[in-house]
Amino acid sequence: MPKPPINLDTYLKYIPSHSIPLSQESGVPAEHYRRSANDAWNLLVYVERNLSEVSVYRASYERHIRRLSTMVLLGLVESFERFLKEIAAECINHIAGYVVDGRFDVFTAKGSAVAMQFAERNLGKALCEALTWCDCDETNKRIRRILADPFDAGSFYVFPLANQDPIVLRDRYELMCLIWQLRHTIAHNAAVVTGSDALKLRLLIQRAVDSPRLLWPTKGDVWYVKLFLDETAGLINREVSQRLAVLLSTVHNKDNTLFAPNAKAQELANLFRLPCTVAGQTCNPA
Amino acid sequence: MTGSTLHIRQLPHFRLHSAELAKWLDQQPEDSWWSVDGDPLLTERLDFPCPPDELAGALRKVNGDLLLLDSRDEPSAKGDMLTADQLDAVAYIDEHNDRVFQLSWEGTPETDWILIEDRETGESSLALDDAE
Repeated sequence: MPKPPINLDTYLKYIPSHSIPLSQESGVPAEHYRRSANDAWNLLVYVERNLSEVSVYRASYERHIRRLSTMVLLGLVESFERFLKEIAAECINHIAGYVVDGRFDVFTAKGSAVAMQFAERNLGKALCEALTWCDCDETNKRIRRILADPFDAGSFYVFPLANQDPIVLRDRYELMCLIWQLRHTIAHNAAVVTGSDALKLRLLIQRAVDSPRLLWPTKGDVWYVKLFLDETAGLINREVSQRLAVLLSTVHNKDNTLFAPNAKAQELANLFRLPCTVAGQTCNPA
Repeated sequence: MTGSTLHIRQLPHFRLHSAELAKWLDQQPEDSWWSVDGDPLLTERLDFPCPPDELAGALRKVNGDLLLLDSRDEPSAKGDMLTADQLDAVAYIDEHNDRVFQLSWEGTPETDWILIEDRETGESSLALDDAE
């Protein structure tokens, strides 16, 4: 029997309308990340726990849980990438009106991408949203420039190497590169570890990696990734908040008519959900 | 514990202050880790699963009243206020021998959520600690 005709032109175009409002915490990058990461983890736990309570085909159960683990791992990394993007966009919006150097030249947004952001009138989103942030060097370069002192190259790195600052974020660069590579394998090769993937992974973990193979992560693997990303997001949120506050204090010291430090400190405290001090004025999250 | 299309507020439930739940969590063993599924308030503040003391701290900060589904075999609660020392008697024990509470905040009774023990992760974490 032939399949009935389905008007795919109509039904596919319905898909973008199947959405729900963003949650309240989406305006706070760290909370947005945390909520998404917890939801991703809960998906895995929910399915695993509930399926284990009913009669299932054991072989199918194991296979599906591994596939779901792969998807959840990807979801965690994507949430983290979005966190980096959101935090960078917010930093741009907070500093853009007060600097005239070439710091934003590090972004190469195309006119069409900027045009799509015109309605929102949000420079940070216009510069950051269309870019990918799953590369330590690119992310380092962009955030270093955004948070540099005026007319300076900058020295703040979100994934610093051994001789770079801030110290508390050191020793994460290589593990982050490994996680970005796992993401690449899952997102771009449907979890197939290709020959080139295997070579990169081998260099990152200093151990032989077979290929071609299908990545088959356990629930424990997903948890370890979550632990690492949760901690890294928390540290980056704190360090970026402090660096942005220092930068705004520097700008204010040069021209104290640019903005009211108390109001700016309150904005930062609400954005990072941490106490923030700008030009001697400290505010706590509202 | 089975699903229902009704909200907790429409079903037999207890009331409980978050500080009492925190006090009960303080008394739990360190391998008794916990996950929250569905509550925006807690899932934006904490990384889950987490040890009981972290969750207890967040619950104290929220400082609000909770509705707790009466999941006993013959549910009869009518909004009775519970204290920490009564929680063991009303905890639902699932097939994994983990404790489960179905809750909602009194201020947002349209959002039901689950607090679920995750001893598997707690035990794994302690084993990792011991290995180091």
